[in-house]
Amino acid sequence: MKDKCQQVSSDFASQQQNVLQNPEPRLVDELRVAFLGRKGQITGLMENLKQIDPSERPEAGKLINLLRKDIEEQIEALKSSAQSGELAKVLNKDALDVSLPIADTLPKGSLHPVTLMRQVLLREFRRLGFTVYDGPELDFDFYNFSALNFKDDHPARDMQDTFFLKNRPDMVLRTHTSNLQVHAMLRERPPLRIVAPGRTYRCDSDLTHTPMFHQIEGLVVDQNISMGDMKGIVDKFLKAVFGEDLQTRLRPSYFPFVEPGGEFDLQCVSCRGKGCRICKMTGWLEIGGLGMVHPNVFEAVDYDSEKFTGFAFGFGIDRMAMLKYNLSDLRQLFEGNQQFLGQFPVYS
Amino acid sequence: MRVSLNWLNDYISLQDLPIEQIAETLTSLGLEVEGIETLEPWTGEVLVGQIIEAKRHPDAEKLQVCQVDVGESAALTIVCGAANARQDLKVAVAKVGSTLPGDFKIKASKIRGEKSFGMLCSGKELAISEDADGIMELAEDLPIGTSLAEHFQLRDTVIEIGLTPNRTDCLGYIGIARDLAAKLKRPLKVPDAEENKREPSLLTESHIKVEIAQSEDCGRFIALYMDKIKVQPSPLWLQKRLENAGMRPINLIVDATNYVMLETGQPIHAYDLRDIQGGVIRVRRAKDKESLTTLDGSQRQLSGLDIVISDAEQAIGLAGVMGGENSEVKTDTTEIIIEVAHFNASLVRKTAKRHGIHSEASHRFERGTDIHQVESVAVRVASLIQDLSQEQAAGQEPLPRIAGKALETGAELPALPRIALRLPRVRQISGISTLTLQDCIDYMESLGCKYLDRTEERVVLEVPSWRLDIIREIDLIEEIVRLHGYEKIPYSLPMMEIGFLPENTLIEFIDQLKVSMAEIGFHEIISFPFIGPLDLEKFQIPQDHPYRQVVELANPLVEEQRFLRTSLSQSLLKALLENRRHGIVGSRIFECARNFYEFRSYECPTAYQELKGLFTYGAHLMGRGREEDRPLERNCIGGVLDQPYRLKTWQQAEIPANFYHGKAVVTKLLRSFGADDLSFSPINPALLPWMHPKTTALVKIAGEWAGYVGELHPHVADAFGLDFQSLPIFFELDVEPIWRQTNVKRDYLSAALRFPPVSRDIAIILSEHVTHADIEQSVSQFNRRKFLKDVRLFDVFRDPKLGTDKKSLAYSLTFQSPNKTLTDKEVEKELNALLDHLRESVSAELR
Repeated sequence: MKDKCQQVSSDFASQQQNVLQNPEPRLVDELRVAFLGRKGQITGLMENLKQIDPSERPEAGKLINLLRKDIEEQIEALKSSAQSGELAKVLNKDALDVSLPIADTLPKGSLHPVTLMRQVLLREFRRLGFTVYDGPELDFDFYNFSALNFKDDHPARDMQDTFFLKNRPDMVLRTHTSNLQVHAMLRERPPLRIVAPGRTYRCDSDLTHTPMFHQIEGLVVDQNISMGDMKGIVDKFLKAVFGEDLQTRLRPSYFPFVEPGGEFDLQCVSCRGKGCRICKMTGWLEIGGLGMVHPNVFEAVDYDSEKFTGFAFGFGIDRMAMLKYNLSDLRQLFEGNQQFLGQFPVYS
Repeated sequence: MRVSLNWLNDYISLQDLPIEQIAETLTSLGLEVEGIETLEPWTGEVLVGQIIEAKRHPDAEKLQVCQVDVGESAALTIVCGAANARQDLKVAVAKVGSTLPGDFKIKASKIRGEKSFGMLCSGKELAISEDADGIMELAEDLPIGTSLAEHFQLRDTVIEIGLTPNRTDCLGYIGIARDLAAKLKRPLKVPDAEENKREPSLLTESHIKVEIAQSEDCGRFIALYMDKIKVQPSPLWLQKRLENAGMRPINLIVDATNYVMLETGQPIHAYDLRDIQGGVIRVRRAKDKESLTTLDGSQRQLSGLDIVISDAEQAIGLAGVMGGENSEVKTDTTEIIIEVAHFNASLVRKTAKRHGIHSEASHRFERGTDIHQVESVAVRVASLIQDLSQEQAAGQEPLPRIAGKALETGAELPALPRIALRLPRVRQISGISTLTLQDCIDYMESLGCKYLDRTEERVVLEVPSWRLDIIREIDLIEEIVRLHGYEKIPYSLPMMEIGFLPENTLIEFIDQLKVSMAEIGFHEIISFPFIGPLDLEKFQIPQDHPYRQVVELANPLVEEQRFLRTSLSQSLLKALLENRRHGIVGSRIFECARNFYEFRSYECPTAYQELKGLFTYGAHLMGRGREEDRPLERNCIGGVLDQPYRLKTWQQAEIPANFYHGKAVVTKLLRSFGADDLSFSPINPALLPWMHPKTTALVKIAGEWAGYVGELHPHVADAFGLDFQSLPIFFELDVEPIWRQTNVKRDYLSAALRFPPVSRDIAIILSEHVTHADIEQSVSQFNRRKFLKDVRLFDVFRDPKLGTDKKSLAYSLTFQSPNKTLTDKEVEKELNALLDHLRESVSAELR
């Protein structure tokens, strides 16, 4: 038995030598099967054990076990060296030209600057506790004009060049988002704190006017709202959007649905009030109209105009987007050119 | 409104203030300054000079060499070609270095060998008059060396004010001056109409009778007779003032009426008495088929909605809008009737609109005029005519005479409104707690209010007749805050209940939908929703199709924008063309916006019933709005995937875009919002006539219409000039079915499956007509399903060897159990059962 063991051992040594020349995992496994497998040489030795004298069996068994342990250890060692060889091969492959362009399988999209501006505005107003409201773009004269204190046949109606519907003489394309004031007040009771962004339409088209544009309407109604609150809210949000260091200015103006009415100016974001092309040398940028809700409007929606006061504002989103992103051509916003639009991000 | 500062200074003294401060004050009053124009007639010096010697030019018969004294130490030598240049004449001298109108530079020169230092000017050369016939002959008493620009008030600053329609009082200079006077606390100077110039023996009523047919058309009509009129040009200063205010000087009479209109805001008209037949002026409605040629030379067909001024026979003026040609003041007019009236604002506005006239008069009447000032205006204009005539005649001719009394017709004047003002309300609205009742009274008095009665916290005020915009207490509050200064309002934040208004989740959903679309790699566009009749034709949409039920505008800007779109594809196609025009390939654009439909009195043919999801109000509409009969607005999201899908790269050849790329985009977008139950089915070609009938699918979510995806119809591509061999992919989805999916409650695995999945691949041979969707359908009905988790198609194979009209589809099947590791036997059993099921349901054979 001792001889047989020695023969197996030297057999293993020679085959091991071959594998060591080229330590591939496949060869290591073949070696393992040849010696430790079900029909391997070690198993063969164990089979032989049955034929020898029982008194010699313990001794012989010990020898075989020693040999098996030895071969197992050797094979383990071979395995790990084969593994490191493989790892080295994977590691040592040719370097890539990392400067080659990607195949653009994940092209970047973009949101329209007006949408980005809308995101900013809604975020700021929700922070100030406002609810966002939406409604129709085609609306009755009642919501767009008469409930907002535009008297029939009054030149105030000429302030907004209105698109009328052909087969519905009492309907218009809303000229402002202020129609949402009426919708909201007819549906809700104070306290009200809403903003309503959306598309608006006027039949006017030149370098600085497009027949469709975007506004955001605001409406705050409660029992003790003052012009000071109006100044405070608008100032807070403009500064949040354009920067804390800019001055704002409120001056009187007229819109039929507010009294007292005004316009809000922001110090020019470009020249900071010195006067430049963007602000037409005035140092100020007109942001929009606002004022205290006219008692006639409250009465049109059955609110008690003695009990409630409130303010409303309507600002141009397109204008604000142009200021924020420093754009010079209003018309380009609506041409759908991907080269221009594609440069904007997905998040504001 | 153009305001000449020279002129405004007649009513309030502003000479000491820099123009910037005046402009700022006006803007702070709500009279927004939109522009400031400095008018300089010329640069350099043009002075009054006197010719002290005029000699014939030695070398030219028609030229004279003059020595001209301009008040300097030495006389100037000036060669002049005018025949009227003569000794002692006072002349206009443009000095060397000045530049006259028309960019005419005056230089020292030599004319036929004689040196000349300056120019003697004609009225035309100085743009003072049209007179080019010789040099100007100035008045003898003009001091030598006087600046002509100053003498003729040619230097002026014009302030352009953007007047809001409520401030009718500021359509006259006095109104603007009154606001400034109140704000700056300076006196207002209103010209007196001087009674003493009137001729008591002249009676208006012996020349004219006035009849008003309907008192609601005309509240008051003043007629004032004048005779000994001489129609001549107005003085230069007045002509310049009118020009600077934007009006054309015509003659002294017309100029005077315009001047007083700009001064007071009250339109005035002057008639030639000879042209008023029958000695009567009637204010009445026009008769049917009556016509009138207005001063602008147009013949107008009138109707019973127009108020006219007529004599005994015919209309002689369109009341409040424009006078008639037949009664205008002419060069030989000697007797006039001055009309100052008050007309119904609404009717004047309608007449002006109907006839397409926007005159200075209609602009004022339709906003409302001050009925209380008509008589004083008539006297003022008559006095001005007299004064101007005197100025022009220089005492040599008889002056016009004014009748002793104007003829006043009309109902009793309305009482002035009286409004109570409460101090606590002023403070509450303004947020200015420091205002006192006395402040309020002071401010309102400075604007012409009278206070009638006061208690500690309340005052009753009478509103002046010219402030038609002050109707309620809130209007008084605005005046007080305006004069006090908006800048003095303190900044505060509202003290209110937190409250809670639920927000329509659709709003935020749409914003998120856009973000998702952009994340998929699309670029958002925003387009105008207008389309034209030609677009509908090119889109091949038949008259009875739901997408042809357009909302039509009554007043489109252009024909191509007559309708509102019914599909985003109509707008997206135009954007696609724009991108192609700019050489942008493979554009991926999308828009999320509304389509508009007019379904009133529309019956949808059965062929289009699948589109009935369109026929409901959008969920953006809430409350009362939903109960009204309106055109429909539906929020949609649509996009274009242009060719190619991917440009060639160093790794891959160019990949053309096909239907499946579009389907992938739609699927990814919808799955992001939990819409798992998707189906894509072939369309009936009539359903979407602008889409390719063979490569377009109807998209349904949970069996409900949601939109479509596919190739553009080749005819449509061709009609728009696109290459029909390489069709772009379009898709459009109605937002609301997607949004509704976000509210669907679904069952989620409470934890990940712990036991390993087992996969098996099969290939089955099918008839060509059996689609992948049929297989999916069949699998979903496989009732012995126990462990099958997923079925994924990985190959489509066609070969004649499979048999005619046969194809092979290969699927990878995944089996998994939540509570054990599956054995081969269990998997085989279920796989065989599935194959049996497929054989029975779709005649599938294992390949």
